[in-house]
Amino acid sequence: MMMKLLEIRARIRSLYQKFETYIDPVIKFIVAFVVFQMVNNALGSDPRLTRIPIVLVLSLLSAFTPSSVLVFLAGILALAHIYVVSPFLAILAALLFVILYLFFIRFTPGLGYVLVAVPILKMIGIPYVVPILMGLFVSPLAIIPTGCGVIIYYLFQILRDAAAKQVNMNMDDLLQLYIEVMDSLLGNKEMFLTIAVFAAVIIVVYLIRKLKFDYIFEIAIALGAVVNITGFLIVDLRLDISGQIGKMVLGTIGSAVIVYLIYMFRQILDYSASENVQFEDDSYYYFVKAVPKMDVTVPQFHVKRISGEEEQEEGLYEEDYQDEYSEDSEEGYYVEEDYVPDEEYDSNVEYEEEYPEEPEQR
Amino acid sequence: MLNNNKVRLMTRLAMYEKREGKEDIRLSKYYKTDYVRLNILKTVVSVTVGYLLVLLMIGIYHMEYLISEAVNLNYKDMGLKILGGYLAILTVYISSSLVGYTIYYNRSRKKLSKYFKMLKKLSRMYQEEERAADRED
Repeated sequence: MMMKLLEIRARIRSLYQKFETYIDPVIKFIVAFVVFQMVNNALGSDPRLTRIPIVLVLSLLSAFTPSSVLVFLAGILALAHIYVVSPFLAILAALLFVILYLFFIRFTPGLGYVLVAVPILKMIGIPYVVPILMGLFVSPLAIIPTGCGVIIYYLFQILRDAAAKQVNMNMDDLLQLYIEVMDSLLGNKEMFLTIAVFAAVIIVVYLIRKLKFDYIFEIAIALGAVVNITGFLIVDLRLDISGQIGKMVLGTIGSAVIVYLIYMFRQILDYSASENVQFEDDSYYYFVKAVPKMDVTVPQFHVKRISGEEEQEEGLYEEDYQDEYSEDSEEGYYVEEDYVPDEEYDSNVEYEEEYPEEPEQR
Repeated sequence: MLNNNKVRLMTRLAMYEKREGKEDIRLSKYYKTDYVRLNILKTVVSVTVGYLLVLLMIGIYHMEYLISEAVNLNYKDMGLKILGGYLAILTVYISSSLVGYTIYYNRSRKKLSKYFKMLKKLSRMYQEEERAADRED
């Protein structure tokens, strides 16, 4: 069985390396397309905005730009939908975006996609993918964008309902509308409790996967799901919305499966991408393509306990090696043995001596 | 004539610079105190602007009350509360920024130290080549 799995893994890797340059933009295009379509579905009022050409152009743009562009475009699209119905509400939403950014989002660059992921996934019932994934691959810092994502979801729910109610635009009504929207947002217990449960899931998953046991990632995912179900069980019963419980449990299980699949793919495809680098020295220009070797047989860093029945198989080392590498590289050390072949890397060596002295305190 | 070891080393360095190293190298251009202070400053500005916006929104929310009681309002009291809130939030954000950015900078430096070791090795290689070339002359 192991051999078959390893064969499949090797095959996926070789496929990825062959079509690498195309796979990335294609995936980004598909994701962007889905995102924009869902935004249109959820908020779509004006047929002018929901036309396919617009979605296609925006998706194309997002395919070749960093993910923050997708987040930005999704935000603009959502605001545009609201603006068509009620400019006032759109300005309100924009203000809230700015406030969220200034107080929270600017501190977690690189996690912008979470802001889009949470609302979109919540619309299809599997928002729980985000906290579990964040706990697994990021850190509790991710609570910030996750929480903001939840706020954005509920905000747009409220705005959509408010926009539907608002037919006549009248100065007095506007103030009333504003007060209603703010009341619904700030008094939304479900929203705050959801943020709390997500935060708990992220922390639990993070703490568990930091332990160094076998299969700790799988355990972390499972426990994250359990915490999630328990948390929302309490919340739903407290708030008397028990009808949602079934959907929530199913959603959690589905999310856990998805996270596991993502984890598997990451294991397989990480460190498989080839690199093109350019540099020069006095005599030459260098154009180097570095292709990672597949099926690296490396000395074992991670000794598995050999019981009577268990046997150590060839090729398993790779998996252990990868785990070792990915965990340690997150700590900031390079464990890969042949990075510095003839020198012992001592992490305790002080680095201060190599750098220019800082100027005296003024 | 190409020195394979040298090319290998340079390739590793270039790969690092392109990927994980980019952020670390960007940080390395600042002294630690400068980096932390700069980001704290940015944070202060953002929090101030954000606070003003929040104040605006709260003001509009209570607009009717504020307008009807405009004469009777205790402005001094309100002013003190607003200022107090501002200082409290500012303190929280400044201290967390201080701690956060310092930790971030330190971690990035640690990652860089291995990169710099490789750079030193490369420069040693160059020196040896020069010495070998000089000897031949």
